[in-house]
Amino acid sequence: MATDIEKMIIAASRLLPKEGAVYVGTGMPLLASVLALKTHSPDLLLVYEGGGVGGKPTGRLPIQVSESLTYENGIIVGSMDYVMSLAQAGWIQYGFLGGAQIDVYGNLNTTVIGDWEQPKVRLPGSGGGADIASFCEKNIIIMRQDRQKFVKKLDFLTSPGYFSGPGEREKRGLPANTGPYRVITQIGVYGFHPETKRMTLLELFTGKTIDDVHENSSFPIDISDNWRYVKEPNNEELHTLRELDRDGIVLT
Amino acid sequence: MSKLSSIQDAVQSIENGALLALGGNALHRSPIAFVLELIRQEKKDLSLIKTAGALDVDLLALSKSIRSVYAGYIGFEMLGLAQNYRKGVQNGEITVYEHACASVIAALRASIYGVSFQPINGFDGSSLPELTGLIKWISCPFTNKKTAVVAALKPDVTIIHTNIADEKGNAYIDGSVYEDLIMVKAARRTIITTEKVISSTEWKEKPQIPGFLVERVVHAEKGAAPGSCAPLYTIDDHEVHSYLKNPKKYLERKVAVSHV
Repeated sequence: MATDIEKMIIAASRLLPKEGAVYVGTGMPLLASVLALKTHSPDLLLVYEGGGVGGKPTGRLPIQVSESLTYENGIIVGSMDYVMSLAQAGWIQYGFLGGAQIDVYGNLNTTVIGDWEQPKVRLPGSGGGADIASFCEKNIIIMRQDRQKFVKKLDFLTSPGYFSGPGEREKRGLPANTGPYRVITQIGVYGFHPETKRMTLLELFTGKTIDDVHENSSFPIDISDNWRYVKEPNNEELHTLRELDRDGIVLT
Repeated sequence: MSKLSSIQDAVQSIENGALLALGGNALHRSPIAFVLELIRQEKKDLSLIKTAGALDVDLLALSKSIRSVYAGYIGFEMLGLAQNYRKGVQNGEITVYEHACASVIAALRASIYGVSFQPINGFDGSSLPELTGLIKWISCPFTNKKTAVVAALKPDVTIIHTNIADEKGNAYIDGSVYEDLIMVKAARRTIITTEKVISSTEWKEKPQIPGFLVERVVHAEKGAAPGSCAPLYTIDDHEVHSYLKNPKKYLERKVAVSHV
């Protein structure tokens, strides 16, 4: 039986393409990307913030985006300047983000809870988030869902989603056809409606209900007419994932 | 003349209130031995430049040595928040110059090219520019496109930890160089700590850092521990966890024993 976290990671890995480049963040994104590499996307290029490009770690899972395992069997190891400028110049298609708060348009906060000048909780900050969110064609957001995290208004907009609706990214000078693509939580998988750019439920994990979707969000979430259940993890996915994180660093 | 120096002398050369750039990234190849000596010598009012900081910045926050931080990210990734940095910011002791990793790099890049600002892509929409005033907008003189620019950051001193260095200051880093090469070029002066000191006639690797940019070289074996210095050693999980569990006790233990 797969846990919530395992289901989320497997759902994320399935979203990754057969080839192309993905900007990999720490934690669940890292596991999802390596899982994709080992299952359906052997030619996917993993680009890590710390400078590793094309790393295919064999043993223990890297737990940080700058550690040497991220360039094991890789193509090059450069600098953060090198990989971030790849994103800035538009070479990276997929990005992976998390956050402490998200709103209905997929805008993210990883900076502070409360007022920026006098924060209630000081969070780590943007890291590469602001630029990944700005440039990647398809951003996948993985986070837990509850009313404190799914908020009407962010305390700080660190990484842009669709701002206040359609056309807003372009208006502010961000490249066309970029932005949040999917949000994966323990409840389901959400997309953004092509016309309204509002977060919309596409798939539910088995055992979860539409009520769970609403009860765990401070903003109303639209439900797609064609919503369905997420396909259960198969044995290969589950086995490969557990092998990747034998120490249970992410999975427990 | 040899640039070799003891860690004590190197740290004595740092003035209170200095703007320091710390090399490495997160828990990797950060100059932890140097940071601990800064704390032993009770340096105060330091300002730090770092793309992604973790133990280094949190230790200096714990010892109340920092006045401000220019950084994109401070935290322990999957291991949690940097609790002492968090507290220092929340109670107003530490001023945050809110950056993204990319804008820290761009600000340093301005200094290495000898210009006062650097155009940067990727800030059209984040609250970062408006709130902090670190990023401003200009009209590109060639295309009229609205373009974000970030002011130059010039460290008083850059401190990086390397795998090998010689007495002339030539130094070699294995694996990712993170932002270290840019930090070295951007700074007024650079201090290198290193796992291994060799003679400048013995090089087998190709140094990336030319000695003329370097003021001092400090031999500090395990100088990045409990973080990693690839391929020599990886993160010491036990030590990192002992820090996260009880930072004060960890620091007391470390400060009591002088490095090298």
